[in-house]
Order: sequence, then C-alpha cells, then structure tokens
Amino acid sequence: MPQLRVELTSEDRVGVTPGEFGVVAIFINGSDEVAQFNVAQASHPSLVLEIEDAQGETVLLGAPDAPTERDSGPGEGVEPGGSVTLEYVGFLDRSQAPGRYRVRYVGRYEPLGGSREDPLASDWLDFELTALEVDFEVAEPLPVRRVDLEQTALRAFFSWWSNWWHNLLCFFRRLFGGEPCDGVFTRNVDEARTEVMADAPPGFEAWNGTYGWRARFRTVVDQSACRVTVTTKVRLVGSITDAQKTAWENAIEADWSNIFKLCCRCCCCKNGYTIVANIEFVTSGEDQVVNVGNTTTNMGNWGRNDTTAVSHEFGHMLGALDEYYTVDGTPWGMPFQTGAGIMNNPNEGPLARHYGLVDQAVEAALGTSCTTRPVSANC
Amino acid sequence: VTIHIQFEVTPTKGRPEELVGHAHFFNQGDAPVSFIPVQLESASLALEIVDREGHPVLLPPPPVPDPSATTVNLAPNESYLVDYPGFLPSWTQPGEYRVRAQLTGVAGPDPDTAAASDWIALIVTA
Repeated sequence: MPQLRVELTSEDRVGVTPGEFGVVAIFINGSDEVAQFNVAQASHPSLVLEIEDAQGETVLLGAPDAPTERDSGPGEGVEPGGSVTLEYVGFLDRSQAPGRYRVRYVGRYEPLGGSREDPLASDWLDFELTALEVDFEVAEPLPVRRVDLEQTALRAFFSWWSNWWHNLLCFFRRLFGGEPCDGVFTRNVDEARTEVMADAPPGFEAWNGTYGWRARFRTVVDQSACRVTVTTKVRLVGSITDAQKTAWENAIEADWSNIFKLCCRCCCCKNGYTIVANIEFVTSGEDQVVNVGNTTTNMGNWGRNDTTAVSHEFGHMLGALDEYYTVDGTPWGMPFQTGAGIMNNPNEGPLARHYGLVDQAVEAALGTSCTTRPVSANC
Repeated sequence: VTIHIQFEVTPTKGRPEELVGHAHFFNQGDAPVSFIPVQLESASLALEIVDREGHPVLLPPPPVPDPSATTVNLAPNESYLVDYPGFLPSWTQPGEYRVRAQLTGVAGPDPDTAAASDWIALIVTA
C-alpha cells in the first residue's frame, strides 16, 4: 500500500472549456515515516493523469517535456502527516470534443508515489467539457479542421506504433516462454464512497443530501479463462425463501455479467477479460449486510420480491455512484431516463464507467492499465 | 408542522444489525398529506444519525425515485408506521450515537418547519 494517498479536486467541473480545465492534487502522507516523492516528475500531467471519455476510451495527452535534472533526482521527503499540493491546468488539447469525461491521478513508479504492482491512485473525478467559443470573425474553419485532422492522425499513428512495439515484445516473450498466461490474480477492494446529491425537484427534496457507504468486493483475474470475476459476499438478515434469493442472484448476475470486458495492456488475453459478477449469500465473512424487507429502501435494505432496484444497489456495492439529479456537481437530470444506464434507470443495464473500481482493482492486480469496453468491441 | 413523529429504537444498545427503529408518522393537521412511501420507509431519507461529537453518520443512498410512483394520502388523524431494521450500516464503529426521524418536503420545504422526532441515544457495540 503506498505511503501517500492522493485526492483530486476541481473547482469547475461543468461547462468548462478544454484549455482551461484544471485539477488540484493533494498528496498526504498518512504513514508514520517520511515518504519520498518527486514533485518535479509528478508535475507532468502526461505522466500521472489518466483521462477517459464517456465511452471509457482513453484520452491521450501531449508528450511530457524532456526530463530535467530534478525529474531524475531523488525527489522530496514528505513528513508524516505532511502534504504536497500540485495543480494541473491546461493539459487537455483545446480541440477536445465537448462531453463528459473523468480524470484521476495514477503514479505507477516510486518517484510518483506508487509502483507498478501497487500504484498510487486517486478516485476518478467526473467533469464535463463545453465547446470552445470561437470568434468567427477571426477563426477560419479550414485551418481549424486541418489541425483536428493532423492531431487525429498523429494520435492514430502513435497508438498504432505503440501497439506494434507492444505486440512485437509479446511475440518474443511468448516465443521464449516468458509469459505463460495461466496466472490467477486476486485483489480485495474495500473503499469508502460518498456522494452529495442536489437539485432534486419539488416533492423529492428529501433526496438532497450527503450519502456514504463502503464498496467491498473481490476481483479474481483468471488469465487462462480471460475472465475477471467480481464477487460480493452478502449476509442476509430477515426471512427470505431460497427462490427469492435465487431470483436476486439471477437478476444481478445477468445484469452485471458478460456485458463488458477489460482490455489490458499486457501480453495475455489480447481480446480482453470478460467481467462476470457473482453475488454470494453467506452466513459469516460478509462484505455487506442486507436486511430483507418488503421494499428496497437502500443498499442495505432489499425488498424480497424486487429484482430491479436490487441490481442498482449492487452497483453501489461495486462503487458506482448515483447518476440522477446532480451528484458531486455533475448534472445527470431526472431519474429513469432511457439510455442513461442502471445508476440512473434501474430498468437498464450498467455502463462502462460503473465498473470503475473493478477496473482499478484489475489494474492493480496486473500492474498495467486497462480500459472497460463492451464485450463485442475489439480491444 | 402537520406531521408529528414519534420515534423509538429497540434495543438501544447492541450491534448495528440488532437495532431496529420504529417511527410513527401522525397527521395532526386538518388536511390530508400526500407523500411517496419510500420517503418515509428509507432510513437514508427519514433518519438522521450523529455520533458523540455531533458529526453526521452517512447512510447509503436511497433508491432511485420513480417519478410515476403512486403517492399515499395520510388523512387527518391517520398514522403511518414504519420499522427500520438494521438502519445503521454494518461498518458503524462502536460508540455512542443519537438518532431521530425527520421529514422534509412533506412537512414543508422550510427546514425550520420540517417535522422531526426527539433524539434517541444509542450505544453501538462490536
């Protein structure tokens, strides 16, 4: 576990233009020993910030500056209880399309606070970009379009070139028996989640408030099956029949399984790891306690005959936040919208971003970066 | 305030899952009051819990409100009874807490006129 923890915040997360969007990272040493941290190296957004669009596609940042002497030095010591604050502004290309994105800090190397096996990572921070306002008297469409095309072509080339080298490396590794692809990697997740809900309309004001819970589950990455199994153990309190339990299990596992996969940058499972959900009812050693009642009233109280809302509540157990009204500053709109996904509309299935904590756990288990994609898509 | 709330917890000492809240929402006004049942039935919406220092204890989010959900009318002098089994999250640390039932929106949008029960003292054990 890294000595430092990192929290990412941003003052303006809605309606901000790409070139002006910025985040503040606060690194806190919660241990009782001095933590080494290279501030100069961590100041390069391209080295430490990961950004994804609403489809879970990685947004590439510009190449970092050439390393300086400070970048390669030992860095600074952060005293126990001390903190370091870094601000990243203007790291997004001004041509970045409007829409919803998310960003997080990830330090996969010791100078950046973590390691490949155990990266220092913040929670994802959602934000929404607006279109850059262009002065039409000055801007000419053709050059702007050409710049976009050049950048797109450069990104495509960079991606192809990077993949080409990666595949070549994998080929040689396999040729010399370096990567047998039969590993099983397990990761337990226990993370506090909070959300602040606002802007509930008249009649629903009671929904405005701050909520908190713990996301707890275990991920098992099985390379031989190219599968990630996400298991949550639930202890039930109250009366329920076996048939009702089975109905919960079937509904939840159908909703959350075999819809998405994790495409990870490693030599095994080139077409990704299919995500399979597994809810286990136990009598001890639980991740969550669920009280059985007549109706589902929150993550810890489920209606015995409900097979819809419980699947939304399972999403909270995996760390997903609500996506209706305004949550943590992101305006999602009214609940039960068509196409808005299970955290807005419990009648629908999950979206890629709802597996964010699963993605993080698998990345930590494999020591590489992963992207959540539909099972039918190519990695 | 048209809704009077009587609230108790049994027992008042025990592990989180052993504590059960019982709320009695009584319409003491002279007009019916309309509400969505889950607003009273979800501990996340109807209960307020603080620790010994007065810091709020956060509960998991309430269910997604269905805009087409049927509302319930509580006629004058009628009561609505709700039990909250295991309303405290399982990860609640042992210690002293206070809890009360409260309503916003139904009793009036102004927080000062929102209905609330008396505080009940609790001891959570490991």
